[in-house]
Parts: sequence; C-alpha cells; structure tokens
Amino acid sequence: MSDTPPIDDHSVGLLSDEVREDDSEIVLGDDRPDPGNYPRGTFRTTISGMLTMLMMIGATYVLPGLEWARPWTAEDPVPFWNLIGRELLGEGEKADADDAAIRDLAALALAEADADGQESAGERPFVEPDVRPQGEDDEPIPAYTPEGDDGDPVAVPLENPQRLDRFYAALTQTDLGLAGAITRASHWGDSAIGNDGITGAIRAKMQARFGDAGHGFHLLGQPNSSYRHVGVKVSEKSPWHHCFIIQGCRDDGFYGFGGTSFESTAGAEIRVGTASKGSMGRRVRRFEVYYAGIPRGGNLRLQLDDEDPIKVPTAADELEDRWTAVEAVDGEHSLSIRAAGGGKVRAFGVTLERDGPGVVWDGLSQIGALTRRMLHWDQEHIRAQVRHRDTDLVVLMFGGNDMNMRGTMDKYKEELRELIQLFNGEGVEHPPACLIMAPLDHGERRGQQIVTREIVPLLVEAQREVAADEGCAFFDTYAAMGGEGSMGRWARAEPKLGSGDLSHLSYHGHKVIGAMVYGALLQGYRDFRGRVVGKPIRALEAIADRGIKVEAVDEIDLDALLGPRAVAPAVADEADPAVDPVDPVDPDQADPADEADPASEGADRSADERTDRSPTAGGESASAGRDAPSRARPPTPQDPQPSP
Amino acid sequence: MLFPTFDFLLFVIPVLLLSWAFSHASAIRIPLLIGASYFFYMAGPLTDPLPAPWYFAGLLVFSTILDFTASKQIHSRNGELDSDDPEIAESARRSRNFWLGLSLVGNLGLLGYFKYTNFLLSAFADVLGAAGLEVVVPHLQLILPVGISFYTFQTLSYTIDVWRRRLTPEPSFKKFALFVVFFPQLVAGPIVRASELLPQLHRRPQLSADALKFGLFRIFKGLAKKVILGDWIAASFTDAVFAAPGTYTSAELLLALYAFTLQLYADFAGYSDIAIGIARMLGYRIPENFDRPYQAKDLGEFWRRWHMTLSTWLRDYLFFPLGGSRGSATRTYFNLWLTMFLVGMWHGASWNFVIYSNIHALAMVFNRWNRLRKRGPMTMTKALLACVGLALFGALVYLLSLEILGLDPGSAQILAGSGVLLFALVSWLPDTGSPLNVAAHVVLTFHFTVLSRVFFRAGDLGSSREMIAGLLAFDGRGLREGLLTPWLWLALIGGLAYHFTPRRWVDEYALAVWRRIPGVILGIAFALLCLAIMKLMSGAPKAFIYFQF
Repeated sequence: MSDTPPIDDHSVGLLSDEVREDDSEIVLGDDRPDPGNYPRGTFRTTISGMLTMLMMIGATYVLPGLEWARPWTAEDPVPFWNLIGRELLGEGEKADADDAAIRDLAALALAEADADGQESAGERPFVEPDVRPQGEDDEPIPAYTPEGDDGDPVAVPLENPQRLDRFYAALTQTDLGLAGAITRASHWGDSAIGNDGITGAIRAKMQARFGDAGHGFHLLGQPNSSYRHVGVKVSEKSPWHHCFIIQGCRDDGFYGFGGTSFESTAGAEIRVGTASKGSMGRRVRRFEVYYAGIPRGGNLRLQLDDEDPIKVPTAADELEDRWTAVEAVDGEHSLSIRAAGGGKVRAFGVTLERDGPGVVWDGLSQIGALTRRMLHWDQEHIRAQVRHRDTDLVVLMFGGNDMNMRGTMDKYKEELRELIQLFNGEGVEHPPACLIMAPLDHGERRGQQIVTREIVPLLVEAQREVAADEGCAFFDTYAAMGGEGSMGRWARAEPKLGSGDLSHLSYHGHKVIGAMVYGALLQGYRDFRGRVVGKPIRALEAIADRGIKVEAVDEIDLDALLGPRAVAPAVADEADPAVDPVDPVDPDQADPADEADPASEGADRSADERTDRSPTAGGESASAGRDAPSRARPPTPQDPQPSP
Repeated sequence: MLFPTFDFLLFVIPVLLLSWAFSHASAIRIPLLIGASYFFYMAGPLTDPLPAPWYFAGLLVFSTILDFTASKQIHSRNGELDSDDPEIAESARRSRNFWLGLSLVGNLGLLGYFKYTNFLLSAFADVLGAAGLEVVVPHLQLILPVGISFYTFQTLSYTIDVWRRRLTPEPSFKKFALFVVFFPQLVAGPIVRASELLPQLHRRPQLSADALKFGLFRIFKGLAKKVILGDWIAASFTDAVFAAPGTYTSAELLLALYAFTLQLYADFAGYSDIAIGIARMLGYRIPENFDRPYQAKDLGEFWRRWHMTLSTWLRDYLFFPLGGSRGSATRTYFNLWLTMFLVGMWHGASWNFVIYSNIHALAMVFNRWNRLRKRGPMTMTKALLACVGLALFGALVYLLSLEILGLDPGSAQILAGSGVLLFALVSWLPDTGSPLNVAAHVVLTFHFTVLSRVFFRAGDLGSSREMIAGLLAFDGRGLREGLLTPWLWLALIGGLAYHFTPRRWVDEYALAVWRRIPGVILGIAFALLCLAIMKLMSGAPKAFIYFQF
C-alpha cells in the first residue's frame, strides 16, 4: 500500500503518477466501548451561545420596535412547509398550480429566447414576405388564414380591441402584402421598456410574422446605460449633449419624437446602422433624421456608410420641426450624424426603415418617467412629430414611477388623460389608434413573502378607466403576470423572469410579456379580419387613414373619399440601377417644386449615385398624411435642401 | 431543507441537543439521526420552484436497501471465491458480479434516468438532425431528486469497496442507513466514503469543547460565504448578466465571469463548510472538499483542491480500475481524459457541459504531457514541431468556434489566437518555484478556470455563444454606471482577496481567536449573522448551486 498524498500536499496533481491506489482493507464490526462521560464544560460555551442567540431572536417577538428583525411572522409560510404546509395544511394544490403557471411562463420564455438565439445565430433566416401584385386592391379582403402561432390561446386579451381598428387596417394591408404597406407602432414608456426589452420582443414577433420594415426610431445617442436597442448598431464618437423630457429642460417643449433632444455646437457625432448579427434589423432602405430648425442654427453633416457627406443647414427663422431622409439601396448601411459647426444644432433621432410590406415598432423609453413629465412636450410639436411619423398605433406604458406619487388617483387619471390627448385629442385630424399597457406588478417584501404593492391594482384600475374614456384599448400587464404577488413568483422563477428589485423584468420576462402582448394583438387582429372580410381592400385605407368605422365602410363612396385608385408603384428593384429608389408620391400630393428642384432628387449626380443615395429633405409637413398606397415616407418638399 | 433558513435553525438546535443527550446511547442516537435526516430531506421550506414532494425520499430508502443487500450478498461469497474448486469459485464470482451489477444498474440507472434522460434524448435528436434526419423526441417532465448525484456515489463506493474486498459490509442496517442519509452532507456533499464515516458510527461521537467551537467556526464561515459571496453576488449581478448576455458590454461580461467564479466557489465551499461544521458538532468528521482552489498552479492541482471528494472518488473508482498511469502513455492519456470528462459531466447534462468537460479533460491531458516532457535547449526540429502543433491547435479552435459556437470569423480568429497564445505560454513557462513564477502559473490557471466557466454557467449553448461573442467584441464601452454598488465591489474584491490569502490565516489564526471568544459573544455574532442573512436574502432562500447536480 502506498500513501495517497495528504490534502495539503499540492506538489502532485489529482491524477499524477505519484498517486497510487490505496488497497488496504477496513473491517467494520462491533461498537467500540464507550469511554465514559465527556469532560465537564464540553458544552458550556456552545450552549451559552445558543441560548444567547435564541434569547435575541425571542426578544424580537417580545420587545416592541423590533418587529422588523423577526425571522418569521404569521404571514410567512409555515416552517417545514413541504411536509406541514403542503401535505398537512393542504396548501399544496395552490402552490402546485402557481408553480405550474410559472413553469409554463418559464417554458414560454425559454422558447422565445431560443427563437431569439436562433435568429441571432442566423439559424433562422428571415423570410421576406411576398409582395402582392399591383392592381388587386379592389378585390375583396380574403378570409383570415392563421399562420404559425396566430391561433394560440391568449392568457389575457385586449380590452376594447376594436379601438385599434386603424392599426389593424394597416396591419391587414401589410399582411396582404400590398407594396409599401408599412404598419407603424410607437411605444412610449418608462424603464419597464428600457433596454428595448418588451418593445424588442414585440418587434421581433411582429416582424417575424408580418415582415421587417426596419428598426424604427432611435435616439441620437445612448443617453443612459439602459438605452440599448436590439437590432441596431450604434457608435458614438463624441456624444451629443442630451436633455430628457422628464427633466423639463426645454422651455419650448421641443423634445422630439423620442422625448429626448440632443444639442451640439460642433463635433458631436453618432453613427447608427444596421445590426451585424441576427436576422432582423439587418437591412435599411431609408434613414430619416429628426431635427429642429432653429434661429442661427448650425449645420448637420450626414454621411451614409463611407460616401461623401451631405451638409444640412438647420438655420430657420423660428423654431420648427424638420426631417431629412437619406435613401439607400436596401441592405446593410450606417449613417453618421454629426454637428458640423456654424452654430448650435438641435436634433432628436433617426429612423431606420425599409419599403415594406412589414411592421415597424418604435421603442421610446424614458427612464424614470412619471406620467405627468411627458406633458412637457409642446402639444403642436409632438403632434407634428407623430403626424410625420405616420404612426398607426400609439402605445403608452407608464405608471411604474407613479407608484411613488403622493397625489390622489383622480389627479393621476387627469395626467394620463392629458397625455393621451396629446396624441388623439381635439385638433388631431386622423389620430392613431391608442393602446394603454398597465404597469408591471411591483412587489415588496413582507417577511419571507413578496407581495404586490398596494397601489398597483389601484393604478391599473385608474389606467383601465382612463383608457376606456379616451378611446384606447387596454392591456392588463399586471393581470397577465398573474396578479397579486406575481413579481415575487417571476423573480424566483428559473429562468428568472423578474428582476431582484421587484419592479422590472429580466430578459426572459421581457420575452414573456412581449409574447403575451403579441398574442393579444393577434387575437384582436383575427377579430378585425372577421369584421372586414369581403369588403374591398381599398376600404382598409379609409379605415386606417380617415378613421372610417368598419361598419360604415359599405355606406361610403371610396372613390369620393380617397380619390381615384392610385397606381401602386413597383418596389424599387435593387438590381436595376436605373430605377429610382425614392418612394413614389401620390401625384395629387406631390409638390411641383419638388420636380423643379434638382437638388432634392440628387439630379446633379449620376444615375448610379442616385440609386445608392438619394437625400431628401423634409419639413414640418402639414400634409404629412398617408401616401396611398405606399406607407413609406415621401419626400417632404418644403424644407431647405441639403447641400452636398 | 436549506441551511441558511429559519426552518433549519428550528431543526438543528433540537437535533444537536438530543444527539448530545443520547451520545452514550447509540440505540437511540442512531435512529434519532436517521429520522432527523429523513425529516431534513422531506421538510424543506416553500421555495420557487417548489421543492420535490416528500415521497422522493423513497429513492433514499431504495438505495439503502439495495446496497445493504447487495454488499451482504457479495461478501457472503468471498470465501467461495478463494475455493480450490473452480466451479465454486466461478459461481461465487458470477454471484458477486451479479450483485455488483444490480447495485450499479439500480443506482446509476436512477441517476441516469432523472439526470441525463432528457439530454440524451435531445442529443440523439441533435445528432440525427446534423445528419439531416429530423426527429421529434419527447421531453419528460422530470424532477431531479435533490442530492441524487451525491448519495448515489456514496452508496456505490460502499458496494464497490465490499466487492473489491477492501471493506467488510456493515453489520448494522441502522448504521448503514445513517451513512446513506446523514443530513449534514446528504444533498450537496462532501461525498463521504463508507470507510470514512461508518467506523465513526461504531464509537461514541467525538465531542469536545474545541470540536464544538471548530464546528461553530465552520458554520459561521460557511454561512457568510454562501450568503454574502454566493447568493448576494448572484442576485445583485451575475444572474442578470447570464440571463441576457447580449445586453451587456464586453467589460461587464468579463466582470460577471470573475464574479461567478467567486460566487460558485463561495456557494459550494460555503455549503461544505457548514456540512463539516454540523457534522463535527454531532461528533463526526467528514472530509474536506475545497482547499483554496484558485491558488492552484496548474489544472491537476486545481482538481485536487476543487470538489476533492468527487475528483478523488472518480480517481479511485474509475481512473485506477481503468489502469491509471500504469499502462502505455496513450492508455494513460485516455484514462485521464475519460476520468476528467466524467468529472465534468457529473455536473450537468447539456452540450455546454460536454464542451466544459472536454476543455478540462483535454487541458488535464496537456497538463500531464507538459509536466512530464523533457525540457531542453530548443532545436530546429523541436521548434518546427512546436509550430506545427500550435498551428493545428489554432486551426482546431478556429473551426470549432465557427461550427459549434457559431462565432463570426473575426471572433473565431481572436479566440483561436488567444488559445494558441495561452497554450504556448503555458508550454514555455518553466516551473522554477520562484514567487514570481508561481504567481504567473496561478494567474494563468485561474484565468483558464474563469474563462471556461462560460460553459458551466450559461443556460445553453446559445447563451454561451452570445457570452463569448460579447467578450470578444472588445466594445470598449466599459461598465455602465450604477451596475455594481460600492458594497458589491467590496464583496467581489474582498472575496477574491480572501481566497488568495494563505489558508493558515483563517484555519489557524482566525480559528485560534474564535476559540477564545466567550459563548455569549458567539451567540450575539450568530444572531447578527442570521439578521444579515435575513435582510440580504430577503426571505427568498436560494438553493445551493450544487443542489442541481
């Protein structure tokens, strides 16, 4: 027999040659004789320590003011729960049901994450939707045919889904594959949608189902650590100076579409481009920069990929909204946006879009936002931004920070009401559809338990009431999570669905909520398709753009309302450089000046250059309506022209 | 039941007091400890996910009866094995092998069923899928019985030792039953061999004032490790990063890997400390399981310091029976690879662990080659061979990075280049024993273990891929503000610094100070620790990481 080296002999490794097998035999036999009692005092220190500890614990139950230190309270699960509570007190059934529910959600999260992972790894290439041939939009809308998981049961449906008819009409156009049919949703919220978690999850599901029409809006920087969008590549060489709407730092209320304005006198630069991995966000056809014209404004320098930069002056007589589009061949591109001197420049963000058909879902988070802080927007400014964005659906998910408010619930309702009215209030000609998403459950620890904060159901109820009053659909996120105590269960699930702060979700939690919202939207969509089946396809345009109710479609003259049927343009053929990629404009809406100004179409460039890049300038276009049938953004002719 | 819970406090104090009270009456003490151990196994607190139902304890009963019977049967034929009559000897051999086989099939069958079935099914589908055949395999809703990987190895070692005639069977069923279910180490080790614990059950518990204080010291140390460095770091940082690695920067991912490396050690070593401490307070010694593993100078030493009772178990019951290092060099390398591969696979059933196991097994093979090779002046032939070897290694890593991990070519090149650099550095670095040289070896070994932890912790291959791609992106975006609080930084830096202190500082000096502390002060210290645990864990006890194994 050779000795195995002792534990602290590290001169030999686990399986080194020096280690030899121990082949001694051990005989197990009778009990050894008891050598007698232990020496006196053997247990003294230990037992006195035990008694001290028990007395201190006991004191928390006896002495007032020490309740916070009690290791167990009557509200906590009974000790030895697995035997006593589960089996003897009959608590097992409910616990098993909760456990099964959370396991289902965890399985859903894993499935969604798995799909996400496959997309990231390029294992599931994105399939472009078919584009419907031209000239078929007088045909009746066909019956709805479910695809993929469209028909899956929905845990929590939308309340008042018919309020989203405008959105569903646009979605139907997209689903039918009409050329240029882009369905846009703009989703504002607090940190619940920070990191583009929930919004990214919804976007991924919608685009996988209906087509990827681009990432949508992105701020002109990453102003905080939570602003990290999936599907966009961003590099900030020199950050712009930012100002959040929640700070109330602009007296003029011009915070831009995303609620954050950026300024620089010179030198600030950001490059925003398509994602380098995954199957979504890999292509862009058109960038559009959102900025402001300001007195003595400086210049913006825009550079697509490594091409020659374009200078865009921002000087204006007075503060006004402006937009400048940079077009490219559909593919991987990036755009640099730089403050190029000549004065201060104020800008808001950039959109990345494609021709469609497809869906764009803007993620517009404001970390730490109280609902009332969003009222810092100048009303006309945000309405102009939304009108220009031509969004079909406004989603508002606030309330997480309002849970710390000291005011009354009536005051909160008024604030939310005012916020909604910014988007669909009096004076808005064709308001987008509106969806209110209730806040996430917010938990707090009570002894060993995690319970829902008392204000959560009150706030959810207030939002439900305001949504009903203001013409919005409602998604009860709190109920979808499982209601009372759900954040605790989500935070303890495996994989974790909730964050340790009991107020936010994890990556997997975002996936679950994203899938739930998607499911609820699709359920409403199925219902909508049932209501419009057999009506002419053009009716969708009337519903989407003119706010015509579905039931009124049969009573109206579509030609009178919409004008003669537009000729659907062919989608620009990427392989054919002779085709101008600039989106077609309804002849009735086109400004003759546009044709007269060669700069706006890049007429001084070669045909090839025009194919690759066609900058167009936009302005506060009062007629920023829909450009039937294409939903891609038209050139807006009134603005100052970019100079190369 | 989880150690850092109020339930355990309610449980352990009466058990200790009763055990001491009946320390002279084994007829009462042994059944008492058996009952307490089963209660410990069945009566856990309410957790998410739910603990396994109480009747899973039936598996313990099954394992106990199976191995007790099998070992008796094996031993009963020992005499005949030496018979001059070849028929009798052959019959005895067959009978002994049958009972050993029954024990192996029974124990490993249960372990395989509960732990590896789903992975084997999905691996089968993956392999067929790779060959172009799409099959849909069922996913069984299995609950992994807590501790099955530990008590299975424990009971198997007993039967194998009896079969190898290195142990006589335990005559008392009660004592054997206690050996199988002894609660301090039942669910997460250390893996105790029969030869280590059963002899102690035949004598009066070894209790003394020093032993009790030592036990208290280990419990205190273990709880602090488990709760502060284990759970708290996980809850505050690493869990979130590993849940969505794609949303974190390269620096944050790297920091999470360091943090997880510390967390994993603290979690498991903390459990082992508590188990050793409680066992000592009951009057029994169970083996050490950790010895400052990140101080190891090479991987062979690392596995001597990390989860020692598992690695030595596989050494004694697999490596040696396979022939150990007594055969040819090729055979020895194979034995070494297989043993270390199974050490890795013991930890989990997924493709991640297949990769993790192979990384460590192949590194152990390299470690042996590098240790035994003849060093001498560099000749042209040696240089050429080294270049070819490095090029082949680099190409292999590159291809695997592309095909298995799905990295882009740029990242795969960086990974392959880093691998070649590490490989060349370790091969070149001599073992002079100077402090600087030792530090270099320790740093290299530590970083190897840190980086390989990607596959240990990431939930699946996709997450590992995302994590590695994020690490190799070198995005230069640093750490986001507020991601780690100053207290968390303190825990991370303090925890690592503590780990690299000499063992003597704690095990001798700190213990000596502890022994001089009066009981009342110890009681106050424990009460405050309980309060800290309660506040840090906020009523949400977190299962030990190794429970899942």
